[in-house]
Amino acid sequence: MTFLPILSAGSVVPSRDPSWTDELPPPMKRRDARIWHLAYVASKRAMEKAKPAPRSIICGTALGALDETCKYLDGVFADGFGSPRHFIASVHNSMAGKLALEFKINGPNLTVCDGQNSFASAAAAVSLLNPDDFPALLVAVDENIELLGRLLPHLSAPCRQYLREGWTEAAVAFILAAPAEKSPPCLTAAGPAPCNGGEPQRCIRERMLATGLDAQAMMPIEATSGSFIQPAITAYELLAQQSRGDHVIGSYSPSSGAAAFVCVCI
Amino acid sequence: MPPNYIPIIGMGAVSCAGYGTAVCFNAVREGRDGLSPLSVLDSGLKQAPLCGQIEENPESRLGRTVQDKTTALALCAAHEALAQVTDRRELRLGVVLATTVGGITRSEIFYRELKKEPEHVRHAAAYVSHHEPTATTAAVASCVHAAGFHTISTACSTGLHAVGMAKRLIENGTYDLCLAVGSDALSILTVRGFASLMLIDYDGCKPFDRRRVGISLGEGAGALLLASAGAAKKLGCMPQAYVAGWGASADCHHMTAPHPDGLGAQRAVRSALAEAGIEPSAIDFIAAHGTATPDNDAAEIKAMRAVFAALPPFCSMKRTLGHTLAASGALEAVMSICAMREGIIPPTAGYDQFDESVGAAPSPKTKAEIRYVLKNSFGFGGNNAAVVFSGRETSGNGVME
Repeated sequence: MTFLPILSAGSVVPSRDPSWTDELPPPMKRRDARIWHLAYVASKRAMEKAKPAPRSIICGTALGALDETCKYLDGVFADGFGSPRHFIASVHNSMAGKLALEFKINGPNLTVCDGQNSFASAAAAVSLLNPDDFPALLVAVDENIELLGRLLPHLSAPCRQYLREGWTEAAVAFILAAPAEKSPPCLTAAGPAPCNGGEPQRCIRERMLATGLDAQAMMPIEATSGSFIQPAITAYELLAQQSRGDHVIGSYSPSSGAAAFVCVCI
Repeated sequence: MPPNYIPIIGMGAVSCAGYGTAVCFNAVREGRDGLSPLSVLDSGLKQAPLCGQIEENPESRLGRTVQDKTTALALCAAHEALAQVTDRRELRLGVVLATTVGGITRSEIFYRELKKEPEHVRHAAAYVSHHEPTATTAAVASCVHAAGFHTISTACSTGLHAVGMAKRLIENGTYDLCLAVGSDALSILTVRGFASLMLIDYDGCKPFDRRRVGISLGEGAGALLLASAGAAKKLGCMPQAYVAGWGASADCHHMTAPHPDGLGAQRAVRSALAEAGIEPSAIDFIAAHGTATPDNDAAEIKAMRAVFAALPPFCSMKRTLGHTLAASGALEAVMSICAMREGIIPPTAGYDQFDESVGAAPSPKTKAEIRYVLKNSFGFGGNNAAVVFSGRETSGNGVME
């Protein structure tokens, strides 16, 4: 497996950090999409702790700028006119594009959308970059909007099982160096693999075995993450708490029936 | 690092021109106008724009109901790309799927009804279960029995990024085979969205033409099956072409308008050329992004002039196929490879009048020796992708049929 050294990390969890918007530049605070704000602050916090500046951006998001999508469609359906500003922001890669614009990162810019597996899928995609594209900024971000709370009780049982009511929205950012021999702190990841109806925890273990990790020694956690962004939050918290060891953070997406994992080595 | 050309052993395509690579390429070869007044969905616009729409339901091709049109189109293209691979045995297959809309063609209808009638929420499970782009990929992965997948979404550049990622996944040994798919169906969101940006030419796009004012949206899917050299040999498949190099960059200029000098595009193209291990002069033909917006076409040619001492012949397929968003990179890559194999540079439908501000004109050729073709795709967020395709391996041992 490919290990990516972690140079620094940053996160923003609005429910725990009510003053996070103080870090937004005033023009951005006034006009841009909220999910962009989340990604910006997390990335800024990570970048303040590490030099040199990243050269590429890989963003993982399950639903993208869903609020902007709704706002755009509200305008179309109610008024016959949708605001172009909301349409631009609604595009899945708008967060990654905005980060590139704000931080002048002109290398590869990818957005991965694999549901609850988005963080793992994006982390696995980082290892596909050329050496010249590092350090890489890996960002996971998802927002929880009022509409999702209304929909949740009416979604299928698997969706309700893997997405808790009032799930925590957040953005988490890691600055990663080019692949190297395993040397903590570092991370490695395996992208989504179909569970083919099998139990997700077992699927994650099979994935670990397939990639050479010792599935006996490491218990995957967060297999039932309950939110799109929890795997990334967990990875950040383990790092922040300096929890020594190799931690496998599994994830499962009921929309795709696939599981993935990130292994954080501290 | 020495160049590593990855074989392409299968391709699939579906567009407004029809189903199948040959059918689509016939239209491209002839420079046909593929657009018609939008009728496959009710966009609510007073004037129906000309679009590259697919009126024949892809479900009728598949012989079953599918969760949404984007997925159905992806499946059609994927099936064709895999048609020659009859016995994969222990070979590991991956999928990288590019889409901008995913299942939104259904969920936007649900949202519209929900706004009118809040009680409609009880139908959420039926309509939004497949909203996420990953659901589209999973459906394809399930049908082709893939071992793993990634779903990417970077607007109009995504299809080419899927090809590039598939190349890397083969190179690093994650998979023996990797299917790069780009798929998008027309949706109210995208039609109204581009209309609100005033980027649509209601009379049909005119790439590189002096009279160009905007794009013509389309729907479709393209699929390329990449294989390791060992897997291609084991399967007995002669490569149709090779993925030689992939370049990716960000403009850092504007969320929708390209950098006027195409700085980001230059970077992406140079990266692709460097990975392919070739000089710019080796490129025989550029399959341009060529969306027909005033800004894109001018910036694209400016960028190409900065990279190429002598601008190679180029074309745009957008009037023939429509701008199929995330599908465009993959779909037009398939068409470019067909052009390379046949030795032609396709005409650019919709082009008629030279534009001084572009300073170059598409140059079709009925007979051309094409060793390398460059395909460009540029998307919202200043996102740039470039892929170089080769007709042969670097060693010269692989011979294109």
